[in-house]
Amino acid sequence: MIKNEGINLFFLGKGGTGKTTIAALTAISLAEKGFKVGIFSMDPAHNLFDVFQINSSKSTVKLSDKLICEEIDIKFWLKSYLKSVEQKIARSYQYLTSLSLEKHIEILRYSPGLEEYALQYAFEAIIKKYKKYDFRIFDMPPTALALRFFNLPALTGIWLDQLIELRKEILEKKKIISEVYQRHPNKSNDNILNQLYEMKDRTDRVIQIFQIKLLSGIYIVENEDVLSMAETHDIYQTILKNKFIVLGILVNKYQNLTDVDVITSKYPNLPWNFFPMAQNPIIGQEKLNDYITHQTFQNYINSILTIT
Amino acid sequence: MLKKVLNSLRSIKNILTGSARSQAVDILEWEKTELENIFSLLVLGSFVGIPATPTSITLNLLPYMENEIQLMMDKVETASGPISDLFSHLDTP
Repeated sequence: MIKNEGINLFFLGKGGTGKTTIAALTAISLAEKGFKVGIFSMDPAHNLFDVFQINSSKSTVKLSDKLICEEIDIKFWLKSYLKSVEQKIARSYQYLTSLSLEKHIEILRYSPGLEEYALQYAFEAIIKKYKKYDFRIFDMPPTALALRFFNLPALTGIWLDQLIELRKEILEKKKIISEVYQRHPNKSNDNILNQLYEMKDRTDRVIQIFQIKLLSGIYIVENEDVLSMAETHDIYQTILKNKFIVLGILVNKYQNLTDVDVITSKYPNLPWNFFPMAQNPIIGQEKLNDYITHQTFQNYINSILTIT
Repeated sequence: MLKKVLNSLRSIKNILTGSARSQAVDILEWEKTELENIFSLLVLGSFVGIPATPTSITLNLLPYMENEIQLMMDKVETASGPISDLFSHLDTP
């Protein structure tokens, strides 16, 4: 069982619905209440710093004693992961050291599936680095990549289970053969099986983090338009399939064009929050601070606090 | 003389035991090799055009799979054997 190391809040939704703004408002509001908060943009096309009007060449900026803001550089994490693979290969296959492995490994960054793996790699690093934070808020990338990120651990887990079984069968047969030949099999553990177990542990941990309400929750951000609502439906179905926790649906830029009862009737059991359309774009800390004083927003923040 | 006979008997016994052991594990060895090949294909399948594991699993295991890659390459040669054999027969005037 994972000990409670703060809560991860993920904000998903169709592009342009205001995920980043809602995530930023949530972060500021929780930090104002005295919690230690980190807000992280997982979107390859970041605009988190723009929302806060931060002008910095650094990827991490401390906004106050209680709040840090980071734009995750997926390319950096991908490169760092591939570098570690390259080093291991160079160590294991000594005769390859004369070849330029870097060149061959470099091309792998374009392999399908590695983008979401880089996100998971970055996510695990953030969990570790900011483990003492009360809240880690993730502004997620566009839906397709975000859902692939959430699907990845379960998919990897299925493969790992099968490969572990197969590897164990191979090792069992190897053992019998060694016994018949009265050879003493090398008692040291099988590197491949160890590696599979290590990956399984990591994958299980990530799944656990996603599935336990005290550790994580997902908010889906939508607007009143049909397309963003349709995307909410797709996101919700995928999240349910993976048994992750949906904390609620946030209807941003609400203009009262559709009746609240009609909107909420799709998922009556879920908590819904409606954030009215602001007069001006909510950009810069001053405007963000203004918006969080709205009663509807405070109600939503209080609902987050009930999780803790 | 007696020593020579005993040595001969001992070496005959060793040959027979070795042969019996080899026979006993022949099928098991074949099974194990096949499983290893399946494992390699699953993990490294994307390299040979088979839809396979998430790339992260392949990359994480790759540093430890020297023997499996060797085995897979050997299997490729064996697999192409019968076909090339057939064609070489057909080619015979």
